[in-house]
Amino acid sequence: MVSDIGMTKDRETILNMEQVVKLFPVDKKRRLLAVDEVSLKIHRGECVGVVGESGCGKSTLAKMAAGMEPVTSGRITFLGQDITGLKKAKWKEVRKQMQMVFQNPSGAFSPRMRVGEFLREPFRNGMVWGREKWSRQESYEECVGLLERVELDGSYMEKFPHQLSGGEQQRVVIARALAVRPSLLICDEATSALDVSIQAQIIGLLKRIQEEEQIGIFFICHDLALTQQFAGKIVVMYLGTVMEEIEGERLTEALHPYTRALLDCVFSVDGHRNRELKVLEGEIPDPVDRLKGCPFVGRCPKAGKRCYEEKPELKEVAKGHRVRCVQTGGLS
Amino acid sequence: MSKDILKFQDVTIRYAGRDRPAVDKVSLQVPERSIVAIAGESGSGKSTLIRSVVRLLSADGKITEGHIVFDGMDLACGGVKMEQVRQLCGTRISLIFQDAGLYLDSRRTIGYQYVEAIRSHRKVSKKEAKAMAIAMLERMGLPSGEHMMRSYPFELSGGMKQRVGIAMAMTMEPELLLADEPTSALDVTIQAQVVRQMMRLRDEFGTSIIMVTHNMGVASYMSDYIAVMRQGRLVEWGTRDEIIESPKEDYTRLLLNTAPRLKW
Ligand SMILES: Nc1ncnc2c1ncn2[C@@H]1O[C@H](COP(=O)(O)OP(=O)(O)OP(=O)(O)O)[C@@H](O)[C@H]1O
Ligand SMILES: Nc1ncnc2c1ncn2[C@@H]1O[C@H](COP(=O)(O)OP(=O)(O)OP(=O)(O)O)[C@@H](O)[C@H]1O
Ligand SMILES: [Mg+2]
Ligand SMILES: [Mg+2]
Repeated sequence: MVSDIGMTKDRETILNMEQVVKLFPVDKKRRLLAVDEVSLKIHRGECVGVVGESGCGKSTLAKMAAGMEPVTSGRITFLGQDITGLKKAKWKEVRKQMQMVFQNPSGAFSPRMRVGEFLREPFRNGMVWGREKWSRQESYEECVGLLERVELDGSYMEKFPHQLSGGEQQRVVIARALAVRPSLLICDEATSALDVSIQAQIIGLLKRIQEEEQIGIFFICHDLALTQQFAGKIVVMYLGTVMEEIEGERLTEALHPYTRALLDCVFSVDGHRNRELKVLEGEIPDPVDRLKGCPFVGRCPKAGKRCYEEKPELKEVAKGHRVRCVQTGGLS
Repeated sequence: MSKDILKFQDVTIRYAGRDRPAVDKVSLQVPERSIVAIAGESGSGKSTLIRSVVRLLSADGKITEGHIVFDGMDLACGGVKMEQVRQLCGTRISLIFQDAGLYLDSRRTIGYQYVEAIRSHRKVSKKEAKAMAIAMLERMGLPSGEHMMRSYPFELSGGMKQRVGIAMAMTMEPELLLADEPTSALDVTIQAQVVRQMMRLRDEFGTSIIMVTHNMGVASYMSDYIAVMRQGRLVEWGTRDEIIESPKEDYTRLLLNTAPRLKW
């Protein structure tokens, strides 16, 4: 992506999440803070990557954007429309412009529906952006074309979901999301079940669509190297909180000790196998019984007294780079 | 020479209604105490191959040729009875599914399922089983094992469910662990932790591991041998160094070259 930060100002904002919070009840007294005042903006033609610890609230954030999980507080606008408490009936229109591909592709299918029917649904239901009516022949051809775009072929139209491998299911779900021609595509681990070669082709396809059709992409991924290649901006989350925001290309210049820990843990193909395995030490915090102070404090090698007392602000340290850390971010 | 714990001999597996076999005459050997990574194309038969070991293929899948030998027993059809395979599964052999979270029962708490699973294979009290479960969950980097045990699957994130699946498979300290993409749903710090626990299982209990993975970095770090599959065939097999440092096949080279690398 051309990461032209000056440009993004003029580009239309597709998704705007402001101070979004999600609390899940645990029992009568306690609640789990899954997402804590997260603000996130996605512009036309922009890909924003979200990385972070398993359980830190990435999927919950995506589900709130997609209207699948109500927000506890905060505001979400999509193409200028407030969708925070949008009624179910109104979501159909929004769906034409916002599609998501979720973690665990098999959940997206109903077991007795053939791939062909699944792919044709948006054409039959008038879900495809910009055009209501499609003949059988036309929608069939579109679907075969979509399968080819995700490196499958027309023979998959006749198959049932259980007859597909994990990666094949994932690609079918991506194909259907693209059929709708959305303005925003939310991908939650959408490429993690693919081998690196097909993954590279799918990412290439998404990049092309992003540029040609100027769609926005909300890209949740555990593979830092892939996210670095694909996302113009990367948001790093820990325990429901945004810890750092940085341009994708500059990821390795990140400052936050948590982001540094993530970078240290990447297994590189060329790495030496006798290299000592770095893992994050320290107590894993419990999202239910949260302490005050910085969310990362219990595991942070740089933690000082202040870190235990107050939660730091997210501060801008350079253009397009914000850090929530008093030790490394606040001072420079 | 060390013994092999598992041997695939010319194994061919077909699904009804498909002309090409999903697994086509695959032979490979897993030496005792070794870690074997299987990488390869999406749809190349990796899951099919490792699920066939414990006969967990869907109803229309059949091993049509070959032998799968574990400790002198032929686990392929025509070999030992299903009953015996079931007995091995969960005690001497464990399997971690791709999408392990889906195999959890959505109506029961993690604790209930975990304790039941332990007690169906081992004579321990509920209390002991619970303690074993909590200890293993925490070794997987899950916060508060107690809270996990009380949770229902829908209350957990994708990676949390995956780790519950890994923990359940590892508690039995099996002789052979079959793991299908165990770490692809995990962030890198947790992945490192799970990799360390799997290697520890091998070092302490001598567990041999067959692991399907798309992550060439993980394969390169943990495995002793690497198998590369494409379109049902084994295209290359070798020690970790042979495959990573001097791959012979174009497809292996393609996989290694396209693996995403961080730009420093
Ligand atoms: N329906 C729910 N009820 C209660 N708690 C929930 C629910 N859904 C999620 N949680 C909790 O919210 C937190 C965030 O979960 P989420 O699924 O958003 O994580 P994630 O960042 O997507 O993780 P992963 O990388 O493992 O998929 C976790 O602690 C999880 O246990
Ligand atoms: N029940 C089934 N009926 C028919 N074909 C099937 C069935 N299950 C799997 N297949 C096909 O067999 C091939 C091998 O599938 P398998 O799940 O073993 O692949 P895989 O290597 O694990 O792929 P992935 O990396 O995408 O998980 C695929 O092409 C798949 O479409
Ligand atoms: Mg998730
Ligand atoms: Mg598979």
